[in-house]
Amino acid sequence: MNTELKDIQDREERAIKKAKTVKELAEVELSLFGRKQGLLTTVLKSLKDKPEHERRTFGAQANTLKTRLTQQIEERRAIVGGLEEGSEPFDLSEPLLPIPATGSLHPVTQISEELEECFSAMGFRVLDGPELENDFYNFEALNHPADHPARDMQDTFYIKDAPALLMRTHTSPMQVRALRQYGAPLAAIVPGRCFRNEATDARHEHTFHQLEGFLVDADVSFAHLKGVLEAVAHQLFGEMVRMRLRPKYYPFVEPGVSGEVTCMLCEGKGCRVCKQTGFLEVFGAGLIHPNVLRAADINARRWSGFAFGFGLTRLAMLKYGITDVRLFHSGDSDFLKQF
Amino acid sequence: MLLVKDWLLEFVSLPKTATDEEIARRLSLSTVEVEGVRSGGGLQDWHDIVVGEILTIEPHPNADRLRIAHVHCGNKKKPLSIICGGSNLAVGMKVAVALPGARVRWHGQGDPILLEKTAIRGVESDGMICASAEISLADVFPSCAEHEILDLSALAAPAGTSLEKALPAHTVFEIDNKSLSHRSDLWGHRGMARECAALFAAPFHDKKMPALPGGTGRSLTVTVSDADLCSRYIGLAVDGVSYMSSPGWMQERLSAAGVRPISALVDITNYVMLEYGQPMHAFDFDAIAEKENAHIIVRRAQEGESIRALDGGEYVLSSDSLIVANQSGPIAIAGVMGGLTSGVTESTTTVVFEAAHFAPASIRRTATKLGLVSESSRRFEKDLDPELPRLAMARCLQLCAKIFPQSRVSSAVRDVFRPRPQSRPIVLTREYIERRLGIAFPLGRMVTLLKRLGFGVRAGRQSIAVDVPSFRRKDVMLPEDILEEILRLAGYETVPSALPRVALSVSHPDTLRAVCRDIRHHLSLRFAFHETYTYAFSRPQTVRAVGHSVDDYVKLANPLSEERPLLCRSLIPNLLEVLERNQQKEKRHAYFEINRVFLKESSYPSIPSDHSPVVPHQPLLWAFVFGSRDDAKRFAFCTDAMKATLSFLGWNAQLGKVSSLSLFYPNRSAVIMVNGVGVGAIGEIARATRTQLGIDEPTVACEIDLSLLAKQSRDVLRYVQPSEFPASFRNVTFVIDERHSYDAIARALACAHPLISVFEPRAIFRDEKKVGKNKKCLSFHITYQARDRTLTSEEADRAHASVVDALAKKFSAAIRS
Repeated sequence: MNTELKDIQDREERAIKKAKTVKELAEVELSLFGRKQGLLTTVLKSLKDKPEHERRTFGAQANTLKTRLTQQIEERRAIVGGLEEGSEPFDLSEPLLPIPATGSLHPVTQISEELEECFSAMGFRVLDGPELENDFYNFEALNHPADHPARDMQDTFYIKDAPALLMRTHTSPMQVRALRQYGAPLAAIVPGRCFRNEATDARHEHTFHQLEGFLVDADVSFAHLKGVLEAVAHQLFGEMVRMRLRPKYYPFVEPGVSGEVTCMLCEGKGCRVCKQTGFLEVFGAGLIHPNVLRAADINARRWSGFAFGFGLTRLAMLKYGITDVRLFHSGDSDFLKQF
Repeated sequence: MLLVKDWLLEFVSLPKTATDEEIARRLSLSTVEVEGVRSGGGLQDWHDIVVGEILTIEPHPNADRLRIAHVHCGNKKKPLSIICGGSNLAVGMKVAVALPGARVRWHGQGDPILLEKTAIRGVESDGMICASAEISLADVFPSCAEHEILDLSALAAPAGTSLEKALPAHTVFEIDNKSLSHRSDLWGHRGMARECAALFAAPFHDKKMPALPGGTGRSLTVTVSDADLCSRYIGLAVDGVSYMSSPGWMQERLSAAGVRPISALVDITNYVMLEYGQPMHAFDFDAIAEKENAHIIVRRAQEGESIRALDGGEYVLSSDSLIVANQSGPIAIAGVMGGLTSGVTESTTTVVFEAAHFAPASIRRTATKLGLVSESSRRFEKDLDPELPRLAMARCLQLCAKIFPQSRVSSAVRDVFRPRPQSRPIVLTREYIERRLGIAFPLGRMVTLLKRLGFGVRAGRQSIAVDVPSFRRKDVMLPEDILEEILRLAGYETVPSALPRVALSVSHPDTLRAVCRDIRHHLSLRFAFHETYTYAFSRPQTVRAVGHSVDDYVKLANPLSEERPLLCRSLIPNLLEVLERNQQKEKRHAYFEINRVFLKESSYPSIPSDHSPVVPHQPLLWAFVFGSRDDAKRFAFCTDAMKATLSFLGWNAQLGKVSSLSLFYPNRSAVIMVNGVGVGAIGEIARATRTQLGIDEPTVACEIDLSLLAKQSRDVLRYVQPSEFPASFRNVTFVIDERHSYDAIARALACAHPLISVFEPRAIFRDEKKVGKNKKCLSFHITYQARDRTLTSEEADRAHASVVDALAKKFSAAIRS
């Protein structure tokens, strides 16, 4: 190769390799191929002054060099440019503007969906029923005869001009409705809205959500009730919690119990939330009273069952540390936005 | 109910391990809810609170209601002068004096605060004479009137004694009454003692009660004319009683149990009630007797008959209430409250004691109806043991003899009794027990436990037969009840946990529930709405503001307040209230709710062969409200949110004719149609409605009946194989008259040329100057594509030209590019 060209090749190849930025590379490129003073441009321009015999080989060599250098510049540019792109200062934390609006799901919805999934996987159907009930399903069929003192335990909203109608005080009426409709065996849960006519304050609300569950099958026993309640307690509060049962009177179950779990806040040591007892009352439960099965047209000799219920609103309060129950139905955007 | 430990221990010897906490724990785990244990003083620190004795009282120079009391507070101290507003303040009375430095609850509320020496209306006060609530004693010494101070005159302690020492130290268990609803036997100390005996396997010492002795001198007859409502009535007269205070020990016990001592005769009846759980009543013989003969008649009240009761109130009775009467009229509302004129007074010398068994339902109905729930009615409505009146009467006579040594029974014992039919023993087989509990429970252990509770048990090889004592006949009737007794006594941990083995069954997909879930997630995650829960109850003024008539609503008979007496027919009114509530703090208002509403014009689908009362239709609705100042986008955003959500679920929603709902602007509302069925409405809230509700922001609301929607058939997603050949793109912009709807244009475009595969709107633009009045300018981006070849540029151009031409002809559109 012509020494002049060889010099250019060596020098410029070095310059290309040395170029650290796209800008430096552009300078090299300009110095080589610039229309007026580009080194190679000038060399190629000088071709016509060369003698005929040199012109051919020199021309071919110069063009090869041009292609070679152009290619190297492009390769180098890809590398340098890539490095440069990634190294520019860039604020990852900048928000998208205008900030996109976000929505929310009510905390009771979230807890209810979680539980529906858990119970569905265990084989329970998820059912729903009327919130405006009649006295028969809400009380009578659940073994609360008229003038029974147990009715006092549930302050009730009655409907004007319809003494037999009321707002359901619990989700339990669905035990009877569902058993009448589907018969035994049946496993179902009923999440839903309930009503009690009591003055509202931070801990009392006339409207709240419960989840009812029941299983009617041949030979359902107290041991089964315990097993299912424990499984649910673990799902809700983690594998660490322990459950204990205490007697509690509900006319529609016998034996009737209240299920308590070790307080997840103090881990059973005793705190303000569990009133220093180390336990939180979570479930009401029991074996379904034969009178209830009978009201549901189920043969109480052949079938037995258990039922349990707990407050979804209360669970949400425990889970999120909500101290004022009135917020759930307030529609307060500061409350809703957080979920 | 307050349970006094000493009293309890009269009936049971508990082991040493039975500390107060242990008693409370065992009762809680096996029997009832113990809300608290109080021992000695009470719930607060009583330092610097002493017993004082009122020496003299003089009026306050600057206040009518206040007086200055000079109080003796111990020999070492000068009498103090204390300003006091107590209505019952009297010379010689013993009171609780809080000295500066003590802590008291101001007006009986809040946390105790430090008392300092102050001047009240210009006169220095050396301390404070306390009401019971101010020193946390309201439970033990309930005050009867307003401004009443605590009267400690019954205490033996001299002035100057610290309150801590002066008050008898009783350990008291607070029992939650609700947890006793089903256990009529636990409403007295004796019953609770029997239960404790069983819990601790300790001996129960019942008092041996002699047969009731008859006497002579007084004529007393008892007629029960309604045995259904009164299965037992024991009456007898006692002479030789008088008006006096009961002895200190009795007053102390009554006070500790939260009952105010009144006079010896009344206190005796109350004492028996707290001990045996059997309410009693004392009549003045002379007040009820006519011509030397007291004839007690237990009968239903005549309609409209009235009585002035002990509380001073006049009560009008109806024929479903039971009364105790003499020949001239009612002398007591049976089991609820005595009459004012028939009770014992200062001049009573002969008394008639009553111990009865009344039908619980009737007592409950009467007490509820008259709003007169008493300690007595609360017990009777639980259905007491019919054997109890005899024991209680005997105990009453015993106490009477102790307090009035001269007293004697002066009439025959009148015991009108219709005993209950014998109940048959409850039989539990070994197999039944194992099936219900899930474990084999040893029969022998069962027998032991049941016997401790007072049941009679006969054990066979394969079963046990249980005789229920009369005091448990009310709550133990079935084998299940016996299981509960066993479980709670043995401890629930006796039964191991097990998961049931059940057969697999076919799944039952619940369309409506799945739809609700998808809508919730779509609306909150994709369209950034906040899910809201509102009450099922509406406000009349809001309902009127949205143009509804209150008459169409189902109403509550007993609303919590008059504010929300209506059951929602639509979710929109409450959602608008939510929007109004948040409008000051939010810029974007997007709320939705899925809930039931209540329509009285149709009924909830009933189950076959259900004869219970029909309940109103309660469809599940989905509603949302969206407030925004952006006129162009507000409505489009809402229709898009609604349509896109439904489309995801397989429903193609169309806007139908104008909605007739008056809460919307007539021109900016539409019925939502799915498969030709109107399932809801969407519209912008009219200004008149907004103004009434105080909503500033222009707002769109939408409501859909999901119960109706779920019945509509859904489109199955139709998949189209992507074309293998590249597409060509062309744009068109044209000006068109406002009267042509976007929908009409889109429909025309869709069938304008077979090569169009998709098109999408790029801009809709209005400007009077640039576009013209009542005109709009639209731009579309159109994709042309063939399934069998690559389109040539000329082919695409030709197709596009014909599309543009069609638009120009059909809508007189002026093509811009």
